[in-house]
Amino acid sequence: MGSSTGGTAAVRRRRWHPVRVAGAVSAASFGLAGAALATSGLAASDGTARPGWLAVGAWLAVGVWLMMGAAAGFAVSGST
Amino acid sequence: MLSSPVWRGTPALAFDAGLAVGGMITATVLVVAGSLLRAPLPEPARWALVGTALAVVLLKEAGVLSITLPEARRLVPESVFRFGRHLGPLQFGIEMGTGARTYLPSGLPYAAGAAVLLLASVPAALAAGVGFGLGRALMTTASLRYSPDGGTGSGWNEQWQRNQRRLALLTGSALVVSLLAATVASAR
Repeated sequence: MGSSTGGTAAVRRRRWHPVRVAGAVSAASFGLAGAALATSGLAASDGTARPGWLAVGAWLAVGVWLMMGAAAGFAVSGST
Repeated sequence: MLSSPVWRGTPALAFDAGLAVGGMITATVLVVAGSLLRAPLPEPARWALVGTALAVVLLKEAGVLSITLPEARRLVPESVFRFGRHLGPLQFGIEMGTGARTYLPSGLPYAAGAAVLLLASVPAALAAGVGFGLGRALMTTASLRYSPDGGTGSGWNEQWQRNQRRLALLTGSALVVSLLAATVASAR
């Protein structure tokens, strides 16, 4: 029982370790940034209007601003 | 403070919502001030200013530059909790989420702030503000999950101090990549 509880605590501590959380934020940022660039590139490549792609690209661009804020917010919270 | 029972359940959600609202307040102020600052500046000049701010902050984070950026050297007072079980955490979150009412141990928000001030549209600025709040909420959640006996107890802070360089690199690179992608994608 005791070792099982200890094992669960160890798993939880690994899962919520600051480097792991920062890594997840970074990975999401990189993925979203790549998708936003690729999508906006597709929309602009042949000069024709593609409303669907443009809408997706615009939302992804907003999403990367969100992730930029999240990275800044997580960075300032470490020792407060 | 984070070990208090108030950081469980719906009060914790109120705190997180406050963080997002606080971030949006700062973003709104920046984008309004930015609308005045942008008028006389050509776009390349704005890009140059944001790039300079980013370079200065990154050099500071890397320990190359030793400068002190302005911050409110105080903690949000515990008296905010007089407003009750939900409104207290909400106000605490709003004050902390603005980034202007307590310590800022990293310079990264200044780079994000410069980008919002000089480059962001209104939806992008609000998204950055919400993201700032979510990032701070993520820290609270993660530290409580990491060491439930007290989020700011020795465990979390000790790990943060031990991995400070790696954390600066990860959060710094996430900010730089997002900033570049956001500005390029928004400009097309």
